[in-house]
Amino acid sequence: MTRFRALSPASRSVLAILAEASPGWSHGYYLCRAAGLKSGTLYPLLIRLEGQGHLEAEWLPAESGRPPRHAYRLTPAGHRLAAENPPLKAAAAAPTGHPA
Amino acid sequence: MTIAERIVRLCQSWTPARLRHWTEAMAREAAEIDRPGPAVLFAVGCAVWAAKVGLMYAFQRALSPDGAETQGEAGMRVEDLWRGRGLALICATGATVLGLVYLSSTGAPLRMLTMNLAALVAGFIVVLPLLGRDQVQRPLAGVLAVAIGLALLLTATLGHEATGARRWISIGGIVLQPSLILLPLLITVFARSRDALTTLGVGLAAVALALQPDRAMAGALVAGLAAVVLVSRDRLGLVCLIASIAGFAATWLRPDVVPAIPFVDRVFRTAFSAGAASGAAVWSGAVLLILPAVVGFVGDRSHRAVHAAFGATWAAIIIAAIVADYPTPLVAYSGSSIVGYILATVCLPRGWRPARLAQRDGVAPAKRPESADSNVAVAAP
Repeated sequence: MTRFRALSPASRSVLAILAEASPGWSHGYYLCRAAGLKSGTLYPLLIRLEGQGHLEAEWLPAESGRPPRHAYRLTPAGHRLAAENPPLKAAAAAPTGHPA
Repeated sequence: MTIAERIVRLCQSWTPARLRHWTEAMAREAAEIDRPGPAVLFAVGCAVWAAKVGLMYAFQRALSPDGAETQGEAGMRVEDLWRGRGLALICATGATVLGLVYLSSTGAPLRMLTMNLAALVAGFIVVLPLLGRDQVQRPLAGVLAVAIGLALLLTATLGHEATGARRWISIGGIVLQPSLILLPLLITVFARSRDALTTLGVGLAAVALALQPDRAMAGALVAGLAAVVLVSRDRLGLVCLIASIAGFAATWLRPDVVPAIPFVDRVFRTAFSAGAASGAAVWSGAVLLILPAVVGFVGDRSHRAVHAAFGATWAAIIIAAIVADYPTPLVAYSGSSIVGYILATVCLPRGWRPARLAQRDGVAPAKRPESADSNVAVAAP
């Protein structure tokens, strides 16, 4: 059984970016820059989202001669999660309520 | 291969197999970043994560080789292992570190800090291969108990003597107190496996402690056995308890005037005089020693006897150190107690899942009949 926890601001940012990019795929480095996250923060988040069924990951062909790259996009469940958890505004950074 | 990609690939083997495709993804992503600076930063972030995951995975493998990747015993998950002996090992480490804080803040010789650290490492080296199993088996448990009893008797007859007490042995210039190392393990073995051999071992230990004499450890034996009897109401436990009370009483027939040693004895009474930090370190470390027993006793009904025995034993050792000049366990200069605490965790259950969580997951909590504790086996490797 998956354990759910309240979404962090980082999770919300990544979900919003992925939702905006959908149905296109996003790569890891792009997500790092767009969300302002370090790779060591982003990838555990992506791993968790994939484990929870909110994210799908694929090896997509790269430019000729280059190895495939891992790319990510939200599943329908991920889209619902993103819609329910928009990014927190800076002024309201202190959490006033967390999703169950 | 770029430097960034190379950094990530160096760390790939640290992570468990189920995450390798993710580290492969990180490596390929790092290779695609044009600018070297950001690429290396990206790679270092991935490497730090891989190192953290790898360390956690290695520790879990040591505690539970079959359960590090998936669920362990029925209804149990990896995180449940932290409720069992894993919690005790964490507390042992925490208490030792707090002891180092006390020693360094009070100007103890560096040698003492080094010896405590070495004892912590030595304890882990000894027990880590054993921690993947959760059984104390007959007759191995009985043989172990008798061996411990005989070792304590040998100490009482041939050990190093000081002011009328013969409690120590010297190995390579290092003075050890066998009762602090072995007695907690003996008590927890008995708590999990009560038969003729383990009873004999406890009896030998009671005689040995009376002969040494070691009033503190004799009191710890009484406390541990009393906890076993209170929880299990076992006849063999009662026999051993009576023997241990007799042994404890015998220790009072001879004077116990071993002088206090700085940084070893009277630590609880003097810690705060050295500063709030050292006092807080010592006392919070003492709390850590008892915490696993309390958590286990409350949450793991099928192993209450061993949790109670473990907690009562260490509580008695702490109380002895508070009221008299006996070694302070773990949070002062006491390598023997550090090893002893870690050794005793072998007999604690590997882990357990609270009934409410197991029911929530639709899994029946792992059940053991109360008597199973007396049929437990120290798993043969």
